[in-house]
Amino acid sequence: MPPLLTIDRVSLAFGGVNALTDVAASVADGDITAIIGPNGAGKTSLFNITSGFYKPASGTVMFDGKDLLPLPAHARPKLGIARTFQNIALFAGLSVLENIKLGAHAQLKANAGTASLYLGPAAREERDVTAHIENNILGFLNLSEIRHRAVGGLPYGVQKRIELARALVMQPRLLMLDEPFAGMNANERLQMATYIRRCVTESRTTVLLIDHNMETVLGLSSHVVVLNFGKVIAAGTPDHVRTHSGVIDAYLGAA
Amino acid sequence: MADSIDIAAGKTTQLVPGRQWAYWQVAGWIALIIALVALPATASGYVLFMATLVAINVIATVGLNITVGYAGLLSIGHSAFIGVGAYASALMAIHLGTPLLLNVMVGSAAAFLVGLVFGAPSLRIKGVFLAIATLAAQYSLYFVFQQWTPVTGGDRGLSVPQVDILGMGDKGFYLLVVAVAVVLCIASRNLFRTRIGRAFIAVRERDYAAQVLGIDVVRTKLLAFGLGAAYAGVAGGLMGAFLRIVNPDQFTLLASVFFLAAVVVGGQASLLGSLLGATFMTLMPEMLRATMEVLGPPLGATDVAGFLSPLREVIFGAMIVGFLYFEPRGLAGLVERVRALATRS
Repeated sequence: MPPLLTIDRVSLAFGGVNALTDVAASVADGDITAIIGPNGAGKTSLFNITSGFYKPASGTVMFDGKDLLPLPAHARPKLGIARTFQNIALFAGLSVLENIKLGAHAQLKANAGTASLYLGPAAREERDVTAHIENNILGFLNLSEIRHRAVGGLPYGVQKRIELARALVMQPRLLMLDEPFAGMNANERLQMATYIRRCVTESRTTVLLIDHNMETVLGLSSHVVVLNFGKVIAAGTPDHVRTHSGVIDAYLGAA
Repeated sequence: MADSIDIAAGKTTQLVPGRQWAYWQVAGWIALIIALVALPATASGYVLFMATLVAINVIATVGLNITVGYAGLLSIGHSAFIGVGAYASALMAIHLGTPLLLNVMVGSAAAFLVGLVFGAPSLRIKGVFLAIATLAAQYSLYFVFQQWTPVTGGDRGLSVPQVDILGMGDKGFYLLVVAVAVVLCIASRNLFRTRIGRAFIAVRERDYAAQVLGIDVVRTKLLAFGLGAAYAGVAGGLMGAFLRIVNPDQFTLLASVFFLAAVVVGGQASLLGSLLGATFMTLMPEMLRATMEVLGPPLGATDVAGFLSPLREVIFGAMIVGFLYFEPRGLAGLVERVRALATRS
């Protein structure tokens, strides 16, 4: 089976700083792929290229056989690409349910005219998406109790789950998670890992995730790409990466 | 993980009073509509005049709240869009003699298109800088109103033929304006039950996160500007037909500030806020005048009229600063506080 996402010889520079140099990576369909590396290695830059925030100086990014780079950021979710952010990017002024509903934006069809009348199709799709969220998302992520609360004051771990819920609503083919375990204790990390694994096994979602915590990620993913200073220094199975001398150097800081 | 859920669950116990509140809310809205419809039967000409003016200003304020409150695009050119609607609608009435509702719709469509044009700067700039860019709309449209004499009548403006709704005179006009205002309030509320309204708020709060959800930030911002202007256009068309005159002095920067103040004082991103703000701002000068007429002479202020105009502006300014500082959610925020107190006890 061809990879779902193929990143090929991608380079990106900010001014004189080379954030990414000839990065190549591929994400196999139906698997969990992890990008790891120390801070500043270029992990989030790679995500931002895939999301459409940055345009690389060279290289290609193919998703399911289509070239992603000419597409603006807002056109990419329609292909089935969802993501979360390292610093939770929820909308504080909206309730939990409304935040999650925003994840379905690209699939809903109401326009200003049908929305202001709120009859027929506009009302129906709104009811359908609410039912979908209530049945398949809220229970799964343990959010039912708080669906009508404003997200502003909720605890960090809960906000992380809401952001995951928002990304899952569109039933993405590729789910990109930027540091899903950041700031969590061991217990919460375990729980989040379970959610992620269930996304793959139950919904056939492909996951690409970033972390700098090696241990959590190595146990979860089947393929690992290690970045350091904007270059791929190793890629392969967790076992291969764990014993790779370059990776050990990068993490332990040996010369 | 389990702990955090318990904390969250503990705070949802107010759900039941919340539902009761929802019933009260619906009852309140129905009572308001009944009162509005019943008003002409008892009210004097003056009260009816003010009520019509309030309803027209509500329409314009609801529109500005879409642009400024929900979508977060600061605009101080709103009265110019009201002007576009007023002139377009008046010209239709004068030259084509078409019915009022059609004129108002055309005026609204014209304002929508002009709003899209002047909303374009919002794609690149935000906040105060955007507000200054919208000044361009204010001044350039005012210039057109004033200088394009063959069409707009210049400084003297246009005199609009009288419309008689169902032979009911002022009462008929009032009822029509209230009906339009109610429909447009419901439309704006509906908007925020769907993806369109959510997209406005998402763009206001985090435009990068909005993009990865598939929201086209450019289209969303333009739509927010256009819709706000379309509401302004409706208000303008009705205003022209109501006052039976359209001239540039109605569409000054001060008028734009008036509507911005209505949004801020009433409550940003809130329908109730638009209603309260527009009502308060329209009636405040009148309440002030009444107060001064009673209090003025004993205090030695004989020239009440001369005193009133500067005082009004001082109070406008103080209200805006006061609300921004003490209650950024405006009058609607005060209502919310009262509700929270009531449901807690």
